[in-house]
Amino acid sequence: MQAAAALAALVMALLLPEIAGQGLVFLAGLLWINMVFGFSWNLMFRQTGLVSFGHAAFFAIGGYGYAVLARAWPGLPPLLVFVAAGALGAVAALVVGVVALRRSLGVYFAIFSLALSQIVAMVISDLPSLGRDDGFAGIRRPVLDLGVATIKLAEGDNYYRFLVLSCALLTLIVWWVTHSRTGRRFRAVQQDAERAAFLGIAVARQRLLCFVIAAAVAAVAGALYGPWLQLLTPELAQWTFSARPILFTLLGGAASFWGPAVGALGFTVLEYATRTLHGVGEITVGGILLIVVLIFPGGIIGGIIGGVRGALGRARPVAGA
Amino acid sequence: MSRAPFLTAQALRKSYPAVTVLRGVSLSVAEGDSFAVIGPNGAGKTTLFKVLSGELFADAGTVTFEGRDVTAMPAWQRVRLGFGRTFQVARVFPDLTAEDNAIVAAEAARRGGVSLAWWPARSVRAAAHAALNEVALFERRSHIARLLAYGDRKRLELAMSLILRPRLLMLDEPTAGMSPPDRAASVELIAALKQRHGMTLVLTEHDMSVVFGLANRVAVLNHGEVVTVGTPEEVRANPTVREIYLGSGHA
Ligand SMILES: Nc1ncnc2c1ncn2[C@@H]1O[C@H](COP(=O)(O)OP(=O)(O)OP(=O)(O)O)[C@@H](O)[C@H]1O
Ligand SMILES: [Mg+2]
Repeated sequence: MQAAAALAALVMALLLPEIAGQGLVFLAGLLWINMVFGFSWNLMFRQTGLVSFGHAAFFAIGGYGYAVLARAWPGLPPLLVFVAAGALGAVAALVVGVVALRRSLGVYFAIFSLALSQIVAMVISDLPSLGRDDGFAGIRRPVLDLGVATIKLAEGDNYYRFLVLSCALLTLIVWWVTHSRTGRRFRAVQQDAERAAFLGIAVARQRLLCFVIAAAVAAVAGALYGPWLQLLTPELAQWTFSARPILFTLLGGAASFWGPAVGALGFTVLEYATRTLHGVGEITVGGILLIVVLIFPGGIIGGIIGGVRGALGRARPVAGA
Repeated sequence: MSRAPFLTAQALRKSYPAVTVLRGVSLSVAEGDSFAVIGPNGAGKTTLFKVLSGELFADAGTVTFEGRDVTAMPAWQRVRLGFGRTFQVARVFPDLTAEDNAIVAAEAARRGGVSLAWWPARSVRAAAHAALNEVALFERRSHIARLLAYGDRKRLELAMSLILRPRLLMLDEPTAGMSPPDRAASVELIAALKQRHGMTLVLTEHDMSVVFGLANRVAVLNHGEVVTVGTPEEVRANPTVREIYLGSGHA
């Protein structure tokens, strides 16, 4: 059923430009990227219990990495550049993780990751070649050479469709990792790290691996973001941006794989609905999010499941109860 | 005894911020032993277990396993040398089913690297099922571990440890929290498993019937020091031991 729903969502996403205006399509593109960003954060949180406050660092590294590579070597195959951006995120996570995940867990890791993302934001703000606070503009949508055909992603809705398919692929990767043998081992580590160690599982290595995968996925999401917005700014690495996947996850429900997607959708709808409330828009969004999370600790999905159970319970009173 | 020391502790010391718990503990366990560490509450038994198994590192002293210095080796590496361990309060992966708990252990036993395969290998599933059978949990394999009865959780933990085919199995209070009939059954089960798998056992236990039912050697720990080591009969006859137990019993 999950597969059918996911496939239906994919088809609808691909067909969206046929029925919707450019503004909505643009928003939808952001939503798909946000969902992948959320999935990658929840991969760490749900599977190994890592709480990162700096996940945006990897999104920014992927975004800027893609933009710089594509500008420096315009001849490189674009797909390779996207993969390279992911690899850049993975390598950064490997370096950081080896240090940050040694002993320090919980709040230490959270703070460490936060500091990391602020450093990345500062470096971006400082480097003229990255556009400093003015942003990195003019990121081209590339031309895909698939051998049998060349597709100009700059034309029409081509980049949007490419974005949808890429996000679907990234989602599939995260889903697959989550449900694989390795994912089950991650989950064991999250449930009881000590017990896992006494089964001969190298706990720190599992966390590092999960961190690296999550960073790579976030980096590719960042790489996709650049050509979509055609502008990158240092805010992408900042804590406000790191807060997004956390928000998506808590809003949608951390216990479910699909939680971040539901959360990202809710967030986007809210943001769109309050866009005309200049000044108070953010407060309204923040307030509504807070209320939802307070009322439904399990997020929207948790709330729905609870609601359905409650309704079924009332509809079918148990004899003798 | 001419057998080489299998597991030794030499002058182990360990302090927590406020208290010194181990004050120079030395022990030698021979291969094939069922070695019990007994002592009153707070004597330092669990701490000794943690240091021997690598959950904690000693402040001073050494731990050797088959002649090899493992003092600085983290737990997961000791497990790969042949250590197995259960906890005083049974620890399993609470949100996984009993079967998945066993499968995680079976996969860890094979030391598979990263695998994106979805289903466990057939041999892994078989090993997991065999282990669940050994502790009579096969029927309940699809239960979520958190919802199992406590005794079942303890046996699940035992099964998970056994899947790794440890040569040294450390049991911290294997029957704590069980009813007397369950305890007797546990003693029988552990003795049978030890026999079948040819393991060396190190255990702590408060219940003397369990200790005397399983152990061939007993060390008595009091205030972080080894008071005496000997056969169960020797220890039972030791006047200092009687004093410690009577003293603490009437305190
Ligand atoms: N993490 C800790 N921090 C501080 N003190 C501790 C810690 N763990 C244990 N202790 C103290 O160390 C002493 C020895 O504890 P330990 O658990 O090793 O004893 P034990 O012999 O296993 O006791 P029991 O028979 O109750 O299981 C106790 O006084 C205990 O309060
Ligand atoms: Mg104890």
